[in-house]
Amino acid sequence: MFIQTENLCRKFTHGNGEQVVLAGLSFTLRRGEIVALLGRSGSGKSTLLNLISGIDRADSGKVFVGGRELTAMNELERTMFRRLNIGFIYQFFNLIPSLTAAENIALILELNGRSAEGAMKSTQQLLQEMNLQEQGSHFPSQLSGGEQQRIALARAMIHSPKLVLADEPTGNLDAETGAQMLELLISHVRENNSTLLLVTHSLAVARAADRILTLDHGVIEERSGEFAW
Amino acid sequence: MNSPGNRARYHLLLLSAWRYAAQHRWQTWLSFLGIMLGVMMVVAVDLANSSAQRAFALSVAAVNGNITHQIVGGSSGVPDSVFTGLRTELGLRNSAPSLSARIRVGRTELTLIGVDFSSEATLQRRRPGLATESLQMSGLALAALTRADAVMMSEETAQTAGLAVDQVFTLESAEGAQSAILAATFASSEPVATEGLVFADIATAQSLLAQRGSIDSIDLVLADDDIETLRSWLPVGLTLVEVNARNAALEQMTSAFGVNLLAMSLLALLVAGLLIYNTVSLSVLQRQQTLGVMRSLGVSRREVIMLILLESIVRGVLASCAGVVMGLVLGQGLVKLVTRTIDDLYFNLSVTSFLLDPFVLGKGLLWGTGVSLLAAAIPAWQAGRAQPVTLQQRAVQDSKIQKQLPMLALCGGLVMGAGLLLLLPENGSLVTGFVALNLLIFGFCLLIPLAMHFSLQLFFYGFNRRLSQRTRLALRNIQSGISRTGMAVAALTVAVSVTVGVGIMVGSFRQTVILWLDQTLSGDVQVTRLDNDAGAVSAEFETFVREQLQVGSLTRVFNQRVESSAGEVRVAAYGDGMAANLFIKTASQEGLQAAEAGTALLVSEPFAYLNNLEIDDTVTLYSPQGSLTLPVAGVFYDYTSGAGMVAIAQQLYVQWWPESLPNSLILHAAEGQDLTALQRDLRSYTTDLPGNWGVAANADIRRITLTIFDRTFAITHVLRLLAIGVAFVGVLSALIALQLERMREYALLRATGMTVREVAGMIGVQTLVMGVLAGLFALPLGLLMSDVLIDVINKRSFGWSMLHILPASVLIQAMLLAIIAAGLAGIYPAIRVAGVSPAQGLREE
Repeated sequence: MFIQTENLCRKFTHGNGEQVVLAGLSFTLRRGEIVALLGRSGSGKSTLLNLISGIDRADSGKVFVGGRELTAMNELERTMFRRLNIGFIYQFFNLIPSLTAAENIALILELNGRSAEGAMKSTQQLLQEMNLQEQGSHFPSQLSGGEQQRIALARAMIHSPKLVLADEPTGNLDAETGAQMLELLISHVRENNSTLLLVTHSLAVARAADRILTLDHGVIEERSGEFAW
Repeated sequence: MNSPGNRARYHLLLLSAWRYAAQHRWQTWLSFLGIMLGVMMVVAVDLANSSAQRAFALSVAAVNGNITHQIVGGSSGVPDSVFTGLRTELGLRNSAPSLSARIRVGRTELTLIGVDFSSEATLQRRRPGLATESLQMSGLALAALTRADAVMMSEETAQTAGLAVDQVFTLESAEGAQSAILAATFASSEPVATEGLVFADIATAQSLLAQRGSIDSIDLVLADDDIETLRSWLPVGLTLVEVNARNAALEQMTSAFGVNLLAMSLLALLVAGLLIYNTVSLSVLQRQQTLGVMRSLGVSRREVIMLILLESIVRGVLASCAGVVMGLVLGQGLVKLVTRTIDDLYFNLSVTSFLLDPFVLGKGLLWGTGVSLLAAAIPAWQAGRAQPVTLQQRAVQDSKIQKQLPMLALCGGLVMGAGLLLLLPENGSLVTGFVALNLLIFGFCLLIPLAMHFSLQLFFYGFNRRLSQRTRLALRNIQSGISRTGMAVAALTVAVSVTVGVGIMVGSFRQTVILWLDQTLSGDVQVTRLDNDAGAVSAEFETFVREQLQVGSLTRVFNQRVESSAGEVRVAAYGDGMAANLFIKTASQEGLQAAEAGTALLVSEPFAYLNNLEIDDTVTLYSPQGSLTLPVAGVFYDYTSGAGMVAIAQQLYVQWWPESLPNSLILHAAEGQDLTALQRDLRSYTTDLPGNWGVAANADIRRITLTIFDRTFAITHVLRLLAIGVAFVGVLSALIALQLERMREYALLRATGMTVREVAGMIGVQTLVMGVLAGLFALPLGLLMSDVLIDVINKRSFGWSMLHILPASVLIQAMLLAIIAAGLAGIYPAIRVAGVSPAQGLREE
């Protein structure tokens, strides 16, 4: 199993109350699989993504990615693991506003120790492949939503990660741009033999995946065939 | 961070930080300006201080050289015959007579030093810049000796005074104008040390200063064995003093003055530090989401921390360099104020040049960079510590800080408690006093966020129904963003409280001096011999005043410097009793009666404080008649100088200093007597008398004293203004950053339907409320600060205590300052809101 979670629990405290988001969640993902995770707002999809990527810590339970236990790692180890093995795509793009599009992409390569020149060369190559050469020198604020998300996709894929986590990647795009974006994402993931966990609440988007999981009230279920949402 | 991999890794992170700074020019420049002004103040004051301290040391060394002891005789000096006896009877060859006085050549103030060249050769005195043993010096000395009224000086001094060799010029001393000739100039090996010094043969100096038959002191280099022999040989009225101990007391006073100035500049740096912290933490908070994204992409905690610290170091170094350069310029102006104050209060400085100390420059650079780094450390640590996911969620941060407010306030209370504990010991050091002051300020800052929270809650509770939705939103924004608004208000509070604290301290001091003048200036007109401590109002003069001028009554005042068991002290005696002429601080009725009866004495407050004297302790005064030991019966306020003063009954004074004449007469005018005419007659009479006389109405003395007071505190005002400047810039930057951070929110409000005017009004309400809160919080902190400055810092520095006066104007000024600073800070974001379309605002980060 490429991703395995065991009894994952996460709760948040708000004022005097407590909200249990994930209560003993267990599921697995195979290498190279494209899995869509469907769920209503507040069902814990993004929390699960954050726990799998190691940017948040579970209250209890275990997370294994590529055979390594993320929950047993310290902060630095998790960061290094993420840097090398994970690509992230957010609904609101989350590009670094003070870096150009190309620099946003090159950053992850530099973090992994590539020289500035080498990183930029690879970035330009990817931008060309994605037909984004002209946008490379633009700052995020100068790009349209679709362009920003394509740059975010390039940033997530530039270091050929084993795992790509996408949190509503088309949620902030129009239907046509969203569809193009999804196609691009899936083709890059397949080409790279990466595993993709795609969080969405759109059934249409979920249908593009190999498997569909639903998350409701902290319980994960596999769906197949037609189902209502 | 040095390996190639690391360099590459940081390249884009640094580029991102640089671009952020470039994109937020306002905040960048203002934080730069804040550090620069802070460093400028510290460097300028430090340079002025070190320059003045070195000037002091050089001035002492230039006059005294390397001597170990001096024989002094108080105001009356030492008779020539004592020097002759010392050499012939005791055979002490390591001795030389000394005489010095301030003179004026044209507009240049100089110090004339009488030197006995043959004695100097055996004493082997080494004065900085003067090689007495050199052939050149001996030749010049010979040249100077062979001509009447001949003097010599360094080439630089001659140039300053506009004199050439062989030029005859007029030399003005307290005794009047005399003709002298510049016999020779010499090349000084240390021009700064010999600056302003004029050398003459001792006999020539005595003639020029009309001081025939006596000298100021006999300077000695003594072996331990000789000390006791010499003490037992000395005629009554003369004292052997150790030069180092004597200078140390003076040095202590001048350095206390320096510490006070430095403290003021450090206070400004503290304000600058708080503001730098504010700026840095705001810049981190603003980039929280970006930092969160970076962290989720794989940027480690350490890298985030290093990035923020590196940014801070670069900004700190650049701003500090600029601050050091500005400090050099400002320091040159301040050194004049500092040396003038030291000159006014303690010691005649012959050296007044600006002396550059590279150590001070380095220290300034380190200070600025260090404070900048320290200010960045906490936000950097916080940003590094937070989970990437929480970094992306500002609400989480804000609610976390909300919860921490009581704990923060508790810490503040504890820090303040520690500060108060440090203030408890009565005789604590000055440094402890400053540490305590800083702890109190810092602790108070930690209380501010909770106080803000409660103030706003209280406001909501009282006025919620009357508030418009916009005002409510503005106030809620302050509350919800307490992590940023709290810090900005704390910074503004400290800045404003400095102006309150220092304002009250200076105001109280001035008011106390006025009261002291009212209490001590009895009568209507005073006539005083200004240049001769030993007294000079002759019986004929008194008769003239009584009979010719027909004044109502007359008080004789005796006043001279004498040696005492606690060093040199000024002894005063008043004809009409002490109570009429002194502003008594502590003395029982019996004590006062004992002092009036001549069985006890009263001491000035600085004298008591510096010598740890309490009621019933004894003080010994040395007079030509022997030693007079009396118990202390009371303490009186005295702000004349730091040297200290003792008051005794007049009959006792006349008994122990029988040769003395009064120094001044206090004239009580007869009813209806014209004071102007009285002064004119006195001036006309004293013109024909030898010496320099002062005739002044008490009203004029009061005015002149206050002028000198204001001149002395001019530097305090300059520093206070600079501190306000630093604070203002910093607060402006903090508040602007705060408002700019909310630009997206404002764009959203605009998009929702609020007009530019409405949003601008909301920004205005927000900044004004923050200004009012800062002004309100600054008042108790300022009052606390003034208490510490008055009761601890000034007392430990100078031994002066003063009344606590609370001028309403200072409090009003403080409120206005806070509100104006906050109001101005709201203008730029309001303009930005007006200039940016809602769509554009929503698109921008």
